[in-house]
Amino acid sequence: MFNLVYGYETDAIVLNPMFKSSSPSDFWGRRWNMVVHTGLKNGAYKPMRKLTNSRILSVLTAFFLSGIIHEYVNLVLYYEKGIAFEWKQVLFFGWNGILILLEYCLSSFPLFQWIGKNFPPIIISILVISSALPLAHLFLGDYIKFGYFDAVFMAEPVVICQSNFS
Amino acid sequence: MFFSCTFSIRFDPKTEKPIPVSSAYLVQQLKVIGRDFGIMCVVMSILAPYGWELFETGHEVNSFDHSLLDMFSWQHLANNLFATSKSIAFLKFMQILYHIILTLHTFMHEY
Repeated sequence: MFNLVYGYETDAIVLNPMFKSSSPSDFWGRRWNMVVHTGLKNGAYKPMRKLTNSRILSVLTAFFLSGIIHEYVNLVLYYEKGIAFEWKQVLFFGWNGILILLEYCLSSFPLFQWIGKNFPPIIISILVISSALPLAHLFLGDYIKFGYFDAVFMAEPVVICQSNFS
Repeated sequence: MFFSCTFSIRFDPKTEKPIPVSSAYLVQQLKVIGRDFGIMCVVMSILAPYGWELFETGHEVNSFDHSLLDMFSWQHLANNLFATSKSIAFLKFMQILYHIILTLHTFMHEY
């Protein structure tokens, strides 16, 4: 991989998902981690689509696999800290797969058509992000708990204001 | 570093060959990384004193203890929003940084 990328331009892997997502499928399919998306699309979605011809099953398979991969990555990263396989990532990614299926089913409804045409893009993006936020702790909780962000903290200049009233 | 290692090469759509890095591309990437670095510093400075959770929710952040009501509480949603923003910014930042290091290494060898 090192030799492969040596001296060549790379694609941006994150394309402003927080402020420009127009739907859950736009968020996961065109804005969030494009490399993983491409891998899952070619490795899970397309083969399952070919096998079953079911869009629903293919989407759920891709997200289920994504959840398993994330769970495995966390197991490897935090093995020494006693992390266990608890299906949290699978639940989070499963929920997002369901959101995409809901989008397929509901996007032709007049209310959603109206929202798509009349709401500013930033508001639509906020609504998209909000649909996944209630379960986002399942995805990010382990990173907070087991020190991922603490490791980031070590590499960043940070200004901390402390007050002592006692 | 682990999360930033996944990146793909950009191909020229006409020639279908990888596009070599130019100095203009490098400057543009440095601008992006500079901006993201600033954003991350601000977000980290706000969240670090609170253990990455700005608002108290009464639950372990990585637990299954949250009820439906808890999951829709504004404190929980705000904490998740900050954590999501932070992870997106960091993923992007590290990916570009990692690539710039490789690119600079190439430049030093070539010139």
